[in-house]
Amino acid sequence: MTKESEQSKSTDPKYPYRSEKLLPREERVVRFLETLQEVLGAKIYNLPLETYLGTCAKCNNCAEQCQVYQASRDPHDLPAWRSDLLRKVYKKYFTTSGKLFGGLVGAKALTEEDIDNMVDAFYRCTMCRRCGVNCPLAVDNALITRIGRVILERLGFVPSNMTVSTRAQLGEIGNTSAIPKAAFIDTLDFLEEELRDETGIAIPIPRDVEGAQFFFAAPVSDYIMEADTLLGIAKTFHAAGANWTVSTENFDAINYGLFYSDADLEKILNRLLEAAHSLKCKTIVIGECGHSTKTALLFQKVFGLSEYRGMEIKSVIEVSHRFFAEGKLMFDPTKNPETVTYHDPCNLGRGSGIYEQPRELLKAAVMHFVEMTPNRKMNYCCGGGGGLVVVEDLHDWRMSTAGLKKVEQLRATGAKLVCAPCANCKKQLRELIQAHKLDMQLVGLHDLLGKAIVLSGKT
Amino acid sequence: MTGSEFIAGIFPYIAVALCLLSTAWRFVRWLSLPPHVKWTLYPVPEGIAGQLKYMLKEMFTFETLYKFNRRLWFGSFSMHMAMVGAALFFILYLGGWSTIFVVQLCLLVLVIAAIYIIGLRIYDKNLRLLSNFEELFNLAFLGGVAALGFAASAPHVPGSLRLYFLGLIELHPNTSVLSTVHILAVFLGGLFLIYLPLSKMIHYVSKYFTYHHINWQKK
Repeated sequence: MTKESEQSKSTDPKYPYRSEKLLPREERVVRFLETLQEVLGAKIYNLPLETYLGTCAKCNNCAEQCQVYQASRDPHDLPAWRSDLLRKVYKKYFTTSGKLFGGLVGAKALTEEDIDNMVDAFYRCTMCRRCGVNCPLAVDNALITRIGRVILERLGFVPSNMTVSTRAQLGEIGNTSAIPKAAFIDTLDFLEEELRDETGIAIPIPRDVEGAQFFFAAPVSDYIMEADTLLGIAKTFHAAGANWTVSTENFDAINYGLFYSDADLEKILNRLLEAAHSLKCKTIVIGECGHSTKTALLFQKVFGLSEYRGMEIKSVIEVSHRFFAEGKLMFDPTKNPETVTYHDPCNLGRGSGIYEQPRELLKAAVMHFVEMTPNRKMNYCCGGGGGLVVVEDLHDWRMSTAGLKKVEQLRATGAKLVCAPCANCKKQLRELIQAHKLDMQLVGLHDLLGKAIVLSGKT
Repeated sequence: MTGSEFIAGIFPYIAVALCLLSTAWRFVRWLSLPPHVKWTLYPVPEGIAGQLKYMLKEMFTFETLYKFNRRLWFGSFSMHMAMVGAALFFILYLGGWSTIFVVQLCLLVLVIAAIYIIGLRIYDKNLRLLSNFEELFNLAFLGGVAALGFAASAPHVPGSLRLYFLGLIELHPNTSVLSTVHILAVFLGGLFLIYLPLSKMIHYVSKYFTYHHINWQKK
């Protein structure tokens, strides 16, 4: 029997896209509680979990922040309801009041049906954190969703797209798209040729340069889908005279562990840190990717091996912006005459605080920039956040429900181009544009910067 | 010592002490938890002044509820402001700088607001789905304390609440000046003080941690 057929056999038909090596139903409750205890004992979540689970006032302010609920109007999409699934269990088994008073204080003994509900609910949350912005008590439901998913993974509930990609990344091939090293080097050669053909200048994409100032890692999907973004980044580094490198051993910044597993997150993160460390690079620059940037920024000090913790982590947007602020980049905005709007990726905006830098770059590199409404901290998720964009079985739901607010926002701008510097957002937005027949195109930030950048007297 | 003498003469000190101790215990416990994952929510207000400005605005306007949940804001804002007002004006009343009427007005608002929110939690289908017994009980408890306080401070009730509380502050409470309704109000108020920090209403402390220690962690 092949590995693939073994896997499909172990998939519970009730959960077509969210189960792999599923634990027998009767064992789930015990495993769930053991894992929750483990998570609580892991310390790093204690304060957020205790405060979030212990003091939510159930004011339901989060409902009007959640684009999924706003589209579905299904009470089971209320962020507070979703979080309450875990809160009830936490109260029942881990608080004195819950043990003593049970249902009177909202505690509930865990059942297999509750676990079913959690599987459904936690994979209908895009972890965008918009609900946290306007929570009077600053409760962040996205973290509760994440903890819920981490626990469910231990029961076998996790989208196979994520685990298959992660296995490839943690295996010999070393990246989520399973691109062999030779093919990756060919791609770099191809990109260099493109740069030469387009600009007439030899712009290198340096490989495995020991001691380079910047170690660059993009989501590997960019090497397949987003050549223009990579060309723009190479031009930017070149124009700024930066000393940078990519690794031909470990070049994939994607870290799906953020969406379902601390253990996988830790392994993937340390692979990346190790690659930069072995080349003696001090700064890791993550390409246009929200979740990769946030994961490296957030978890480096928690899960990174001690010898890697001194490294600086930057988004390529911050680096390009710094070059621009230092006067190292010049743009000719007439190269981008179309009206452009900007989508704030949740993990770059609310998750990493990168709001103004891309806007300043865009305003310098395009003729007409229009804001999307609402924007910055109040921007809506593309609808594919929380890793859901890679779950193909959720495609229709992402188009009809999770991405609906985003479609309304995009349409209202009247822009011809929407700029989204995040690999996951790019995929979701392209699909939304196609599904809803919007008269616009999706571009990356460095696609536009690359078109407008002035290189040695040439543009 | 009679039961009434215990309730009016000893119990208030026990209640205040337990309230302070429980609050301090939860504060110290949360403060002493090991460093947790950086879970900053951007933007972070600039500097201490910026953070204070944000917090004070939120505390005294309930802006987030005002913007997105106006129906609940009417009740919640009124209830919290009435609570602060009742405490503040009662202190002023004890000092002779305010009349009991203002305190009564605050207590009345508190009662109405609690009833309003209970009604909303039952009427609104989403709030009903989210609410459990605890939410309703907390509101009823608070409303009950306020109602009894209102009744106890009514002009026609014999006895002197002011004399009693001044004596309580000076550690010589004169329990003989209290009527039965006074004793009941003191008892229920004391129970509420003990319950407050043990319940989810501890958000007056947790808010400090969720904002300052989690959302606004520095880079």
